[in-house]
Amino acid sequence: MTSRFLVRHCSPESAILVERAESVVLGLSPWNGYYRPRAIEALIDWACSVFRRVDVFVPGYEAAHTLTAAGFTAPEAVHRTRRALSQLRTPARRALERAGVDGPDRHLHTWTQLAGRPQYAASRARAEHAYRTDPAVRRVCRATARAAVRHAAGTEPSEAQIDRAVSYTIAELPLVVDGPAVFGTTTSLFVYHRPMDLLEPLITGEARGLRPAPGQGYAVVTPAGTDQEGFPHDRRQDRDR
Amino acid sequence: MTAAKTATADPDLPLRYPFPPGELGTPPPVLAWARKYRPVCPVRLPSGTQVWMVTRKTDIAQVLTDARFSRNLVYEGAPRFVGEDFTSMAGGIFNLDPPDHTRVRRVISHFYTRAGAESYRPMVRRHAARLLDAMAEGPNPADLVPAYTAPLPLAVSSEILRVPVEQRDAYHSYFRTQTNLAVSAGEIAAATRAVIEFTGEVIEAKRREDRGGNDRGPIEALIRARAAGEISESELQGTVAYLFVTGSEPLVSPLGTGVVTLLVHPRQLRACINDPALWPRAVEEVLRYHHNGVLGLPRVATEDVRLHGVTIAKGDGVCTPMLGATWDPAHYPNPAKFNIHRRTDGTATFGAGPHFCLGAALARMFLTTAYEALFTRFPGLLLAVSEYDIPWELDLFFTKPATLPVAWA
Repeated sequence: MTSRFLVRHCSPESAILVERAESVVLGLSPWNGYYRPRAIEALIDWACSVFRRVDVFVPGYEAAHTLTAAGFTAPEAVHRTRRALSQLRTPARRALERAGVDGPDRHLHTWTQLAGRPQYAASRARAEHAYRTDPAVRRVCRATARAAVRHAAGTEPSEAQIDRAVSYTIAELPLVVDGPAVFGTTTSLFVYHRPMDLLEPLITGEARGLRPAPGQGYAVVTPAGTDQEGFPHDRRQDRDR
Repeated sequence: MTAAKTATADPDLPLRYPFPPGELGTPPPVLAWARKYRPVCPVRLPSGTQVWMVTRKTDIAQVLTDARFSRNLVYEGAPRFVGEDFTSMAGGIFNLDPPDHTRVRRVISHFYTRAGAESYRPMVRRHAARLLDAMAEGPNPADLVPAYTAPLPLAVSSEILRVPVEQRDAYHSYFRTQTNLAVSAGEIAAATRAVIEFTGEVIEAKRREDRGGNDRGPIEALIRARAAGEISESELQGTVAYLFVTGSEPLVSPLGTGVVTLLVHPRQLRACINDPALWPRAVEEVLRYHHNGVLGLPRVATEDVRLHGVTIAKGDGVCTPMLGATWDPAHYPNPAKFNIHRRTDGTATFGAGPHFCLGAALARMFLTTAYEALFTRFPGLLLAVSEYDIPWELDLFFTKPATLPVAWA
């Protein structure tokens, strides 16, 4: 049975998209207490019951930079990252298959795979430029990376550690600001389980160098009556991604 | 259809190009189907033009050595992949038939002999070391494409042609467009014009600078041959453009694809690292296993030719995918198995006949040096993602990874 979810739109433009987006895009985060297999499957079950098209993504290889910044050797960081991503993809694939999605692997992405699409590459170049030139974009990218490294290392990271880890956040930006182009739709609703600090200056317009594309919406989606549904939101493990 | 039809698996004809790719940069499976059931197979190009595709090694060798199949596509209505690409440029050795082809090629061939290629080896080593030093200083894991597989061929080719890499970089997108299947015919034609303009600028600059020194490259040799009346102005311009189009991008493809293949065959890779004398064997097998392009640019029949019961009519385009030859099980047992210890080599990937790849010795030297430099510097190099997550460029003539994330100890 499909679990009930509470849907909150994050911008005026998103209000209509939570009802009518051509595609919903679910971002799954590694090393995050929320994205356990049952929660992933329930979320995808719900999304497939509401939207005609569902795309799910997990991070690309840059996620390992969080761990190398936290002090892991590169091979160990890669090993742990690949394992963590596999733990997200397995339940996601299972849920997409169960929902009868045609070609589940065509709707289950890493952004490394998407790097072959010119639309991702172009948007990534814009994101990198915005990071270099727009203080608001730079601030939230670094804050996001800081929280991620702090979670992995258990200590407050230095600026140099954040330099090493911030590629993860920048590489994610195309999927959350240019969903329609990257996924080939006219409208796209990006869904996360809580408000992302990363998105705030983009949505409010404070970040002038990087704006959500037309047709890009945002929603926070949480299980209705979380405690009863058995999806405890473990704040200690919830990193800022 | 024919008696050879195999129930459900047969594709509709004509085949549509580009073909669905094989796994991990391997040939599109439809090539094996065509070799078995339709050795002369109709294929529709993105331009809408229909050509014939020949996929058996002996047939390919026949087409490439038969004077009834011409490389001269410099005429209106010639078969094109998308639009007026560099096959439409007059005078380039790519588009000439003997005896003109022989005369122009002779001007530059000594740069590309085995000895000529060997003279560039220290330069390739120097650029490889520079790029690998920079990579070691940067993030780990890293994308090997911008770090190594894309800039190394460009740096090497620019030095061979004695053109500043920055000057060439400015035109990079036009060279890329020349080999893109997903752009419009108009964009291709515009890119061709930009390449011709760039070529003209390079030639003019070199004519002004030429002081008659000894340190000359292929472009200077062509300019001198022009001055001596050995080649025409259009042969000069066309052949210089050809050297730019083919000098760099076709090496990016086997460099990146080969690294993936080596990394997913760790035992054979380890053998090469432990015994560097094996690198040339590895390169031969990479060259057999992959080809930088899939279908290969068309030739055109100058008279009706019968092959396997099919009439290839005068004016028809004929494509000869080299992967058809190098994966032909009649010549390479178990072709899908990557095996650096095979007795065969990769020569067939370079074609046959008068247009046998001018850069064959250079490609071999380049790849041997580039692989050895990479894996000597990073003997523990590993893929930072599953090999099945590597994205492949699907819109280009060339098969290559779009991104190649690697890590090292």
